[in-house]
Amino acid sequence: MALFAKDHMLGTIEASSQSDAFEALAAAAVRLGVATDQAAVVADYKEREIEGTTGFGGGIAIPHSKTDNVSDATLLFARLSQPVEWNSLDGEPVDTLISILAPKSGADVHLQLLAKLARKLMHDDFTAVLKGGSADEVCEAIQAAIS
Amino acid sequence: MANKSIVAVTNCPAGIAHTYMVAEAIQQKGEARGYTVHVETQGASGVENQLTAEQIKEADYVILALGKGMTDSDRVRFNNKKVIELPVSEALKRVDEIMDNLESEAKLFQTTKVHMGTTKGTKAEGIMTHLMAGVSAALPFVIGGGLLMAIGSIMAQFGAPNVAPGEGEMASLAWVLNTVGGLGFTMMIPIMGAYIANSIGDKPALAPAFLCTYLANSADLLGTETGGGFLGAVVIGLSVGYFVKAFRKVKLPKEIQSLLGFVIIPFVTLLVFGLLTYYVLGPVMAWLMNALVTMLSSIPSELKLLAAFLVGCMLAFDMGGPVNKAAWFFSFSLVGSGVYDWYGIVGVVTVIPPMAAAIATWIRPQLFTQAERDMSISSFIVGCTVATEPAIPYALAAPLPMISANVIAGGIAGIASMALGVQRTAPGIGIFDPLLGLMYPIPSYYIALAIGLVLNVALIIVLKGVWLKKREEKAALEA
Repeated sequence: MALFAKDHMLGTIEASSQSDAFEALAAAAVRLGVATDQAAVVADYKEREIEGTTGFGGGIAIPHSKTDNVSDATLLFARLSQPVEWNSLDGEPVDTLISILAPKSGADVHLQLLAKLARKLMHDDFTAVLKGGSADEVCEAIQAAIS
Repeated sequence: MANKSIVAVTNCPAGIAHTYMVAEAIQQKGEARGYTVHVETQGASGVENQLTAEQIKEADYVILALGKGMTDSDRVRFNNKKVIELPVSEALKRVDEIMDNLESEAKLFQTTKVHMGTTKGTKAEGIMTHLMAGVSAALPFVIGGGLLMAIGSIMAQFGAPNVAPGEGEMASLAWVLNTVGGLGFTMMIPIMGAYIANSIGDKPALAPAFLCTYLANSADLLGTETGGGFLGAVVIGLSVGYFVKAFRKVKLPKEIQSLLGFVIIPFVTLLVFGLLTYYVLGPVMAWLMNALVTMLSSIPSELKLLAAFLVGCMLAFDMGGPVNKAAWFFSFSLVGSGVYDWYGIVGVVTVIPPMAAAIATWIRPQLFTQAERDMSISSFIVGCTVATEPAIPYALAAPLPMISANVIAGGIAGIASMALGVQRTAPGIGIFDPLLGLMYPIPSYYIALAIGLVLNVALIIVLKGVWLKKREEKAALEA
């Protein structure tokens, strides 16, 4: 199971709230075959959000969860049809999502790649691509970050 | 003057995003301002870039960006440093502000001192911390396994059939209990080695240490008469642990760096230590045991009491390792020629260490950790019936005083047993053997046992008391 591939780019999803966004991400995880229970994954996203917002500013959020409801580590990228409220660190609504789902049990060889990606999020040139790049540019930038 | 420096620790609830985002932010922003920066990440793949004592010592400021808290024993590292502690999300939000105002944000960190007196047993440092990690992982194996074996052995002694499964036949209950319980004892040793190594080198060290300790303790796999016992677990656990710790610092090309922890380290470590265990440790143990048996056999018969003392000391020394096995082998082999007094020493000495440790926790509970006190009843029961193994965790938690006490008391009990003419013809259920007719004379056995027990308990209390006091003084000096 690939950590990230072209079909992990979800394009622009219709969402008018954070919940809508979670539903769309979880549906994608089910479609990709890494999860079977969409509602459970949505609940995982929400639970993590309660512990502290994943909106780290600049309109980007990194909703994620370490949960046994997924079988393999998976990265998803999506833009939202309109900015939604995310309780972000800078108070701005969010329109760009990069999501991480990782299984709780067992050592996952992808964890260190995900760590590299997380570090990349602190680099302005990387977030600029996530925000404004074309689908191909984003895909390429993420591939580069985790290779 | 050298650059000012910052050390930081980051962690977060899931351990996959913020830990690394904040680590990167601190690194970037700190270096941009001319600081030397070291960041330890406590994420889902374990602790990485662990701060060294040197780095912490030299740091001007400490930043703790925590999303899931930090244990007291982890905090102790930053005692007397200028520390800025804040939630991980706040660190992300305010990283620039913090970097510009380090001096005013930081507070002198001394809270841990308050805890020092109350967390007896958890403040162990250095190698002892790692040994304790091995002890706490192994405890449930000894307790669970030992009690099952005790039940199985007692059933068998009182006439229940003790038969292995055969053609078309089910195994008997006593056999099943003994076998399942025995697994606990078998696995206790590799688990101990694995967790000692894990405590030092983190997850990549666990598997190779487990497998090598298992090998080192399997006489049948090594083709020797003896396994390595718990000292083998300590040797392998520590050496694999430090080996992996050093190995983790290796820098590989970017493309394969991520393979290091999950593939390369376990593979190379297992290869190196597996071969070392097989070709070096195994033969060394076999040689040691042979040499000891030869030494015992060469003691002239007029020095019988000296030999009895040595046999007693050796039996109590490593509880299942080569030294113990040599003494046991020497004693047991004489049973075949109708000489029973050496095997009598085995009957007396092997039950003493676990019973003495348990009794010591009842008389002086303050000398022991909660876990050690909690396991005392099962240690006592298992110790007086089937096995010496329950004494191992106590010994590992304070090797010098516990092993010294066991060895001296074992030696004296050996002399007492020999002088009183205790004889043993076959193994049974520990201190009840005389009542089953397996050991005689009955009074002699219990007198020798009582001498050994009283002495062992007294020695534990005195020696461990002194040992703990010294450690506390040392800890106080360093604080």
